[in-house]
Amino acid sequence: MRATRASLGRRLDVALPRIDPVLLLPAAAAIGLAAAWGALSTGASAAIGLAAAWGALSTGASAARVAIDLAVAWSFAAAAVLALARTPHRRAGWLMASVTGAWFLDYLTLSSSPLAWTVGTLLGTLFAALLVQLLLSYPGGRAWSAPARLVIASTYAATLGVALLSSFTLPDNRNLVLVTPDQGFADSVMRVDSGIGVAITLALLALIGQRLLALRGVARRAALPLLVGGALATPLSSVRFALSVASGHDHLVDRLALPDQAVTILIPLGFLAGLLLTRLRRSEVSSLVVELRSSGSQTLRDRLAHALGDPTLEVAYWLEGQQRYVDSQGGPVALPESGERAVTQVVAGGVPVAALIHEPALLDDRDLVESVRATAGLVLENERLAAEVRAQLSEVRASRARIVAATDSERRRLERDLHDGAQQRLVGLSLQLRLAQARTADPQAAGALAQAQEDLERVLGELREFARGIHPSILREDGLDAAVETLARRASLPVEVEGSVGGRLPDAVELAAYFFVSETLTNVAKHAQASFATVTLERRHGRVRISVADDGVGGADLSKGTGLRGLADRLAAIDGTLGIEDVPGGGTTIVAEIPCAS
Amino acid sequence: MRVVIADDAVLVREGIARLLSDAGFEVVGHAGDAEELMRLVQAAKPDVAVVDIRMPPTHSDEGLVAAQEIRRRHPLTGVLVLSQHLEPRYAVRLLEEAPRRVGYLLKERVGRIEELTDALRRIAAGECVVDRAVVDELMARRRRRDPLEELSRREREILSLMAEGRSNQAICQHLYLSPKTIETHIRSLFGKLGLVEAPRDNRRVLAVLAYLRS
Repeated sequence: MRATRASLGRRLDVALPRIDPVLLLPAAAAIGLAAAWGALSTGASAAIGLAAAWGALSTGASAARVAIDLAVAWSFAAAAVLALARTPHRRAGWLMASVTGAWFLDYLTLSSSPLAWTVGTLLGTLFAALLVQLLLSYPGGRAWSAPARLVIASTYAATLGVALLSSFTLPDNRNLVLVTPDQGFADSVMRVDSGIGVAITLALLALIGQRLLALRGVARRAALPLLVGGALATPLSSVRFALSVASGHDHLVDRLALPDQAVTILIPLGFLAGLLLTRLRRSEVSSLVVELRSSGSQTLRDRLAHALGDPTLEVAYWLEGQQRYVDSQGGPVALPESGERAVTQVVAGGVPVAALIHEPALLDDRDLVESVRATAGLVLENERLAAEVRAQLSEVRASRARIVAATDSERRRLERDLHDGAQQRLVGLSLQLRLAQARTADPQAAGALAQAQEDLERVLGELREFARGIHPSILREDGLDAAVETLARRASLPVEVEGSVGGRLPDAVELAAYFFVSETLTNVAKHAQASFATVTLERRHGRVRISVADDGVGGADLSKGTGLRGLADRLAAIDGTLGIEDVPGGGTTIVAEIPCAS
Repeated sequence: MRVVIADDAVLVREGIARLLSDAGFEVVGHAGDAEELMRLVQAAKPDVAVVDIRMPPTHSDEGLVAAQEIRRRHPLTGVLVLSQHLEPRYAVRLLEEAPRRVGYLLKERVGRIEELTDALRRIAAGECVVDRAVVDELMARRRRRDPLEELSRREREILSLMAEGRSNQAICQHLYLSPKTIETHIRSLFGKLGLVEAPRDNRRVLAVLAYLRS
């Protein structure tokens, strides 16, 4: 960054012959225009630069210096134009435009016009303050912190204050604010100014360093190139300020002037590099969409996250019918309300499609998010439809599980009612019949009562079997192993039981497994013409596996009849599966596998 | 004989009490749940407690648990469990701790007062009682290689009676056979089943039930 340019200008001025002030008027006019307009076009800034350069060259200024100044100023002008076109960078754009305008202000000291000379002397270092403000408020446009604000204010105070103070005593016949000519005092003031310059540039470096360390993710990526440019441009200024304070190194200070000016270009170049990176990212988004259209959308979120450079990105799909958001698997998603995360709505054809949940810093580059919104809309809509189907599916699965659970508890209730209601009453009735029998003297009546009691006993037996079929008490009391043992004992063909599930399982699992064994054994007895069956129970890796193998004629088929189909449905309701294997050489093995959390 | 009755259905409780009174039993108390039953047994020291297997609060196996508790705390009081479940496992659960003075009878038997009083007398005498329907179910089990098929009809009858908890003497009376003949049959059938002859006391019933359930 340039340092102590004012003194440099002064030296140039001393060394050069006076020129016609008229020559510099276009330059002054253009500078004024730039300050008002903020260099809205490269044409305007080119005009400023060219006018200033023409003026300077015609006074015999070094061509190298003029070339460097033009390069730096035009870079700022170009950066300003691009920044002003982008909402989040507008403030930075104004600052960069101002830098472009202020860059040539000290060329006015080359003029023979007292007004131009005085303005050039007073405002010649304003650009330095503008640069400090640009760096310490990038990219948001507002100073990052209280210390940053302090450094910015100090820079303005120092540059403007020192210029004014030294001008009071600077001996020059064009000086309109001269109070008492005193070159010595002016030089002392300049030396103090250099000291302040050292302090400010060091503070600037410290603040930038701290900022770069503190920033994360998207925000860091956005600010990084420009801040690094600033950090690289600053140290040379610190060195020149330090050399000026020490005095006696004027020659070296002058030798370093051109390089110091030249490195300032890193700041606008950093900004342009940042834009370029963003543009690359945006083209990545476009190619992403092309890619997405041709491949599965399973990793849509991953690809969007990659394209946007935000690994924390989440995609929530809007279900219009249910007025809620779900993830790609159909699970519910709540949109964040705090400022920790930002939400960008994606709307297609006026209908909400999805919401992107991401780092707030992503919004600094509206265009990037906008391009995702524009190009990924269709893919997101497809994915939304898929998510909707998955949400409905999981809803259906949940409701199926609820229906089965309701059926199960209804069975339990029914069995209880039968035992504690009907059966108890019938037992009571049987007792009364017996009492009546004992009290009647009529042998015919006694016989009828005895017959009725016998019938009643049969009814009780049937009722007992009925209740057991609805919900076996042994399953509830002693678990699956005991209940399967009972099923095996009561089967109408020999059944052996191997293995065990050991201990209790969730109610729904036990009941589904019990009915699987019960139904399957009934099927084997009815259709398989088998001589025996083997039930094998095992539990491992959080799953229960139950197989019923027979040595019959085979031919069990899920698609035929409702028995096996119904079993498969019942198992599916608790995420279980049913498989049929025909064993070569005769026999069938039917296998149920059920996940169990315990 | 002093009897207490525990059943949460008043109708059943009263009915059994009337029938037992008519048959000459002394019913010394009623209970509606297990807790009341335990207090009643403690206070009345009956010869036998008749207990419904399903009682409040959960209506599952409260009666069975109470029966085992009574057997542990009051060795002189027998327990007859009335059950709705034709389930050998429950009968074995009742017998396995101490196969004396306990019985497992299907509830529908209570109308046949003779079976109830017979069971009560056997329990009071220190025997154990297993409902014949439970034994029938065990005997009826289909097996791939069934050793029961090698038994004669008579031997099968004797096996069933042993599983019901009958003593040799009771079996003699039941089948009108001499004790010597019965003993011969028992030796023969134990040999065919590959069982070491069990002790002559009540433990024999457990051995037979265990064999039939395996």
